[in-house]
Amino acid sequence: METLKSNIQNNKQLYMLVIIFLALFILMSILSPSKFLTSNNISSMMFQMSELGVLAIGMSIVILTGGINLALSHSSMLAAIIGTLVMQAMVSAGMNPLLTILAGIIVIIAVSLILGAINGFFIAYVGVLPILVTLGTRSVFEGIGLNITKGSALSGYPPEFNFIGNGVFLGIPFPFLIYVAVIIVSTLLIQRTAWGMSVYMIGGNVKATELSGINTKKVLMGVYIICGILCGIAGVIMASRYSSARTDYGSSYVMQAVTAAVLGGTDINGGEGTIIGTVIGVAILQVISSGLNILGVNRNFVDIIIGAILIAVLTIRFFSNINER
Amino acid sequence: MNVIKRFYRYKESTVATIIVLLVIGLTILNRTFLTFDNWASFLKSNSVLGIAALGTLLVILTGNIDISSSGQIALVTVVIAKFMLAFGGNPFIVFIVGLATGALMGVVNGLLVAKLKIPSIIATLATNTIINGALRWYTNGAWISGLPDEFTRVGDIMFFASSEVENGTINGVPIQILFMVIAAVITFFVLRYTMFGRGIYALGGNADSAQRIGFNNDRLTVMAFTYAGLMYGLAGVVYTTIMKTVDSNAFIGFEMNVIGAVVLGGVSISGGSGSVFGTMLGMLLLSIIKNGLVLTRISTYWQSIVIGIIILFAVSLDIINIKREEKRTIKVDIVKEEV
Repeated sequence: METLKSNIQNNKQLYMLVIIFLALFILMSILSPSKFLTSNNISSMMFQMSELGVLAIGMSIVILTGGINLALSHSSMLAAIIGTLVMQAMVSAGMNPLLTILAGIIVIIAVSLILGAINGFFIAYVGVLPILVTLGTRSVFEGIGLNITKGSALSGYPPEFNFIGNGVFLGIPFPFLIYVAVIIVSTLLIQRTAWGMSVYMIGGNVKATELSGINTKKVLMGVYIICGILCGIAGVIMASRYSSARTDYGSSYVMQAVTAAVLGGTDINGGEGTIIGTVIGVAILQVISSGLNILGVNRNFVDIIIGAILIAVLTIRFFSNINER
Repeated sequence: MNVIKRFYRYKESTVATIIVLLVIGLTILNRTFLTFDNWASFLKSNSVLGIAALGTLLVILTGNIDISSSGQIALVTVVIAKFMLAFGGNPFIVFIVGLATGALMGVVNGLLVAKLKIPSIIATLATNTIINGALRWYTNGAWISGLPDEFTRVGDIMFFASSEVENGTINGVPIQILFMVIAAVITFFVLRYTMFGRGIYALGGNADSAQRIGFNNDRLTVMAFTYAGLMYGLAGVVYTTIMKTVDSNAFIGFEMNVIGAVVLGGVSISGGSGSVFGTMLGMLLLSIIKNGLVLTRISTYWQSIVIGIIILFAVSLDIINIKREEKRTIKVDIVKEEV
């Protein structure tokens, strides 16, 4: 009975989010039908939301355990920078472009997996709070990236590498297909497996989870490794989309990812939230920023509105919680 | 042996040890490090960090976090610059305007956290986004210069300066350092000798107990954020006295340095424990690292690596010490029971 109730509760919030998304979408379409509701704009929105979406899913999984990852974008970019070095070397050695790209992707994801494991080690095994660990690793990752790139952007990929971030497959932007795959896999993993259940439990109460026989350290380590892999995937998309890698690419995504997760109903203290909620949160942010952009609203004003919406949603949630009690 | 043990019981001792080692090492590598001029100069430029860290300290002590320090400082610099261009640069009035602007933002943050129960990290993330968006919208990223002499002169005041000022050398204590010291002393007294200060420690230690003793937790939270805002206001004014021009983009990412300084000083991020002295040591450590890298001609790209590693090292060491302490207490309990 309890679970049924909470299920309805969760879905109610999800429905509210979908309604907000649809309302915004329809509003933007009415306000500028000739520009917003075009296949061109929809596809550019899909391109733009993919990289933030993948990062936001990584962030939400971390937030579900009660943590946070401030090193998100810097992990992506350090991995992408090292992957770029490998691809540059292989290109200048005249290797097969497809092999080069494959090697590059494997290196990027492997490096970001290791970076995730470094975060995981300090958080799970040393026991330092995630915000402190990732404050430190963020600085370290940024510094290593700066040392390699000397502050500029690295490029020099095989031309085929462009497809990952800019290509269209069966009429759908390729990065969006990657994003959809990430959504499906992570939803199954988090919401349909025992491991996923233990992620929620850790967010609810670490001590109780540990006493119930779950190896919380291992689960936490896994969470940060998965977040690392997602950073790597986002790093591949970003490197391909900008056809270069640089330490500060995507640094605004860290806070946007938190915003999307929280908008999507993830409790910042952990234990509550869904992947699909975050996905809708990302979509809402994208509709707002693309829509307002098309309407000619200043880019900086969009930030003000997003901040205001974040406060408004949490305020509404606060008052609706009071009413329920 | 006992003395050493007692010394390391204080959380500030980790950072103090690192500082002493760095000072010895850097002095050996470059004799100019341990000169009065060098310290006066790098402490002057880091006074903004130190003052801001004092503000964030109070918020962290309550068990909250403030990631809007960068936005608030930037807002204050823009507000006072525009104010001065419109109404002239009477330093006294400018200070009041700056502090009031910061305090107002602090009240807003405090109300969001205390009354609407929005988690502080989200509330301050939102206000920071809004402030930065508004600033960039308003200034278009342009610098504001041409501030009145009446105000910019204040930034060059030296205390205890000898009569002959040699060219290029500082030869006195810059006023900015004095501001930082005054802010630190006031914060120290507020935390130690006022009901508000004791309440902040109580709230951060255990919110329920604080309420039971009779503290008004919501009011304490709002006041802590307001005090932080006041400090950011002061930091903004002090920054303007140093730079004499205002760049609203100068502080992007600065909140991480501020939090880093507080955390390095042994302040517990979950609230309830930490000191002004520790925070100042944290600021000192960050400044010494930055200055030391310049003096030893190591590429500035190493700066973030070194700072990051020291943060990781310091926070890990704290946790390891706490765990060891816990184990020892558990053992003592068992022994007592057997007796």
